[in-house]
Amino acid sequence: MDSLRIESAETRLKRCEEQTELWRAEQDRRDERELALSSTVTHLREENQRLAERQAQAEQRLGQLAHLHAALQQLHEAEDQDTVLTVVKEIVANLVGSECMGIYATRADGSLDFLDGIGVGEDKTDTADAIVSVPLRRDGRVVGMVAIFQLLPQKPQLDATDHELFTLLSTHVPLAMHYAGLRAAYAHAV
Amino acid sequence: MPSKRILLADDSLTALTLHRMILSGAGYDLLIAQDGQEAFDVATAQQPDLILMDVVMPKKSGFEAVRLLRKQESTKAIPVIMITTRAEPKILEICFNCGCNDYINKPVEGAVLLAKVRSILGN
Repeated sequence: MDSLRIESAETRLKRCEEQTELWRAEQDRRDERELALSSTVTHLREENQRLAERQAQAEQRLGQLAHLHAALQQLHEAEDQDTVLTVVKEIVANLVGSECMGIYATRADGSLDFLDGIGVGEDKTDTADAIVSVPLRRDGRVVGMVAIFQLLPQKPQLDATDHELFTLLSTHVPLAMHYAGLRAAYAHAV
Repeated sequence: MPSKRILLADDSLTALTLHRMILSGAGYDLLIAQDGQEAFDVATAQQPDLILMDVVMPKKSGFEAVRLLRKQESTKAIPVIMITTRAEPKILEICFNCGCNDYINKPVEGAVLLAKVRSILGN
């Protein structure tokens, strides 16, 4: 009788051990799955971070291109020379960030003729104190200048987009002035 | 989900073109006004989800337009971001006192504009 009980107890113990072994194996499998999931989550977080950075870079570039596009579109849609000057002022005020600037034409003797500006009057023909002078060129000749004397307080310095804009202004302002003049002459003739 | 509508109020076509490019590229529908009175009228008629308002405009300044919008039941809750040239405390105080929700300094950077718009519209 006792030997039967001992045998039964041993059998139960063995079953318990087998069950424990199964649970351990199951636990190990769960640990592995958790580890794999954790690794996937980490990977996805890193991927998400990379995509967010790329999106931020793309949006920054879109903003820069939008500056250039807005400037070009407005310059070439101007129907007369006064509007071209207004657009140049808007570009400098809104896109570069300055409320102290002048637009000049170059006379035959090389002196400057004040055309328009913000925060400066027509007596301001000395541009030596300008923080940036953008030469306006047509057919390889300097026909004028946009001089910026001061930036807005919240704009600490000029950046790469500003320099791209200056390059654009240098070529396209004289062109826009030329075509606006042609349009006006055509309208007058008709 | 229908896209959110933003009213752009600015008398500068250059600024409008810039803001339109940045915001339409991000999927927003845009309404345009070129002075403060038109901004008030369009906002009243169209009920945009957000207004981007320049300060210095003909007919009514951005500040005056926002004051009127805040007095009117149908428009008083429309969020307004003011676009300011000057970032001095006095200007910002006027800006918030007349009911603006936020402000952006000129020159407007695309990434900053999108971040502020998304922050207010929650998308």
